[in-house]
Amino acid sequence: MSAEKPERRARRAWTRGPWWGRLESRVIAALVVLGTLCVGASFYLVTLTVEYFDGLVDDAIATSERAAGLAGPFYDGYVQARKQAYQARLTAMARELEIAELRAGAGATARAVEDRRRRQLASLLEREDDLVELSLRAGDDAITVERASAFPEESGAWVWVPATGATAELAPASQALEVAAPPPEDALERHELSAVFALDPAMDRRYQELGRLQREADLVSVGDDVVTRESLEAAVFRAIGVASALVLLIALIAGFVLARATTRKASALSRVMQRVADGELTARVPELGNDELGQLGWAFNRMLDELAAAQKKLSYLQRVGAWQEMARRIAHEIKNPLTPIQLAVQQLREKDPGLDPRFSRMLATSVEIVEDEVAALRRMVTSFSGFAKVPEVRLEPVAIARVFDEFERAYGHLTERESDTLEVVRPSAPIEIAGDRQLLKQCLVNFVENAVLSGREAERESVRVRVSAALGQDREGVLIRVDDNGPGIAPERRERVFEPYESTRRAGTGLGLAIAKKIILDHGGEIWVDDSPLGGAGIVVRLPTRGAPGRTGRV
Amino acid sequence: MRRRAFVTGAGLTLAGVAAGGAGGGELFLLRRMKFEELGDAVVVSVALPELLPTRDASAMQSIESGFATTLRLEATVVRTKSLTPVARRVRIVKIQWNPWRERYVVQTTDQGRGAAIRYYGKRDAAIAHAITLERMRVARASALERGPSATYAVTIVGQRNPIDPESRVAADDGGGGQTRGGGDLSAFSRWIGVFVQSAPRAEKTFAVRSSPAFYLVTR
Repeated sequence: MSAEKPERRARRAWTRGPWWGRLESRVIAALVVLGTLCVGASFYLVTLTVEYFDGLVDDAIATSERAAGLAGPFYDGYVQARKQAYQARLTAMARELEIAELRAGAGATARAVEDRRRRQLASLLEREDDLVELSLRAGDDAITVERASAFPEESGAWVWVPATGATAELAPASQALEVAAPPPEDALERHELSAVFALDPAMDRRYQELGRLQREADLVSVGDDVVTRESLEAAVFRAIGVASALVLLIALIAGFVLARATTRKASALSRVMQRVADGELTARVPELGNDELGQLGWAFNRMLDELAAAQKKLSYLQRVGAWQEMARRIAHEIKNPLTPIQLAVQQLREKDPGLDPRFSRMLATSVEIVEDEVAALRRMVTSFSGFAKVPEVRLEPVAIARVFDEFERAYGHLTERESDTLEVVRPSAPIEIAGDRQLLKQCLVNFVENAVLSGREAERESVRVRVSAALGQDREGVLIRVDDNGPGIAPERRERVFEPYESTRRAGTGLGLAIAKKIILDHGGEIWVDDSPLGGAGIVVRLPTRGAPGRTGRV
Repeated sequence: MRRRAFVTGAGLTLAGVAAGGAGGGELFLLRRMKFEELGDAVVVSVALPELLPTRDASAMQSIESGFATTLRLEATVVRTKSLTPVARRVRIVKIQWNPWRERYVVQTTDQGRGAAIRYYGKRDAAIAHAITLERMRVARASALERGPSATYAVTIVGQRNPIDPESRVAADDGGGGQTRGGGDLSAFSRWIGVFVQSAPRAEKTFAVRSSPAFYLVTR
């Protein structure tokens, strides 16, 4: 509880705070902070993930590069081994040529020796699948056999590997050997044997592909582009950053809309409360939906309605109380001299000596006038006294049907004309209220009397009055209606007819409806004028049923 | 063969940015070039040692390992005033160590012509041949205006081991991991592609522009 004194609080003017202190700004700021934290945390996690996998890729690339680095020496070794193999095969072929020479023996001509050696070379060429060319050279003389036609593919499709350096110790072709025994070494001549081998280039192509992969290991395909990993990583960060910003922006917009929808209601409530605090009791909260704020606005409006009704009722009762006090004083002041006046005029009439007939007639007439006016004043004083002494309502359980029965029994013949009709419609179901039976009957009498007198003043041939009762729509109250076929009451006057000394009739005192309204208000009910289905005015009274709270919507 | 010397001029722009072709944004260095008119051909002679420097250990190791190194040289003749391309020629040079025959092979392929192959026992000699444009035909003389009022320059964009995305796609058998994995991953890959700022076109790119400019003498 605040220790601040109420008057001090009241003096302090309410001012609208800065924008950063408003609920809307705080909600939006909270959403921004929350969204930024979420998006920032996500972005940080994504960054860590990207860097983590980038490290893994780095390791994988390093491993690949080491493997490619090992492949180079391996390829060199392979080439060297293959070339040595070719060299060995060429040496073997040279030995075969030497052996074949020995087996052939001597005695051949030079031409025959050359033909034989050519056939032997061709035989070797035929036997070795990958041999393309074989050449035996001694000095300027050379025997060459080739089978390029055996490799129809273009030359570029093969790797041509020459092999040289193999020598064969053969007898000179111009000298025939005489004996089959091995010739002396000095009788032999050194022949150079060379060859060209064809090698399938598939391995070379794969090796070149390995080189390309090694060169482009740090490149990544993105769509139709090829980019470096560093560029891709930066692009990933940019893309995620932009996506995060978009998500944050969408979240901000959505949050702003949601916060705005909520804070708008709070702002509307706040504005209306401020207007009410400034004394504008007619201010009402607009429709805010069905959520808690909507319910709060509805309850606040209802509170304002009841407050306004209570104020109106209080004001009415204060006015009526003032009028009652004035009526009591007037009645008291007027009532006291009436009896002496009446006694005085009666003495005047009695003391008339009758000497002058003209004087006697004039005196009798004057006394009659004075007595009539005194009687009129007496009636007015009686009305004033009745209005000033409206009895206190004593509530007790009472059935509406019983009130109607007693009313009809006692006042069923309020009019002496046969054409006039009074219809009493009882409720279809028993309705019990907390009320004062006598005063309620007095109210009904007053309503019906007003209806009959208004109908007569309007010169209706037949006055129709209907008294009815029914439960209200919310079943929390009973509606009692008194309808007539009189001239009715103009809408602009319907509020004022319940004010004291306000009457729609020329001869009315204007106190009956005021007294009735006070009685109804003392019952916790309400009263108003409505159009009547009979064509005239309809006085409607709502009274709370037993156990139901009183309604203060109308006064 | 008739040979005609050119009159050269000076006062051209110091540097420029290649427009179109293989260039695509490279900064040109100015370099003196030699131009000759051989018959109906305008040929240029210039060396681009920066494209394959012998001090580049990685490049030298690649060559020594027997991997082929490809140089793509695109020569464009432009009008000096408007930088409008007049003619364009492309030369592809491959330099490779042949371990079987233990020699360096330099294969030169000019646009619209067959390949010329030369062999070298020394690596530096092979590289010097590979990076030198010796009388490379860059335009037809009849296609150029004559006189000092029509000056031309030649831009040469050299790429070492140019990257061919199509060959990568074919070699990767489907285009790499970024396009696999369903629609979401494919969409994410496209989203990433939006933010890829620079795509390398080659292992190394080097661009020069002739300075001073040249013009064909009036006959």
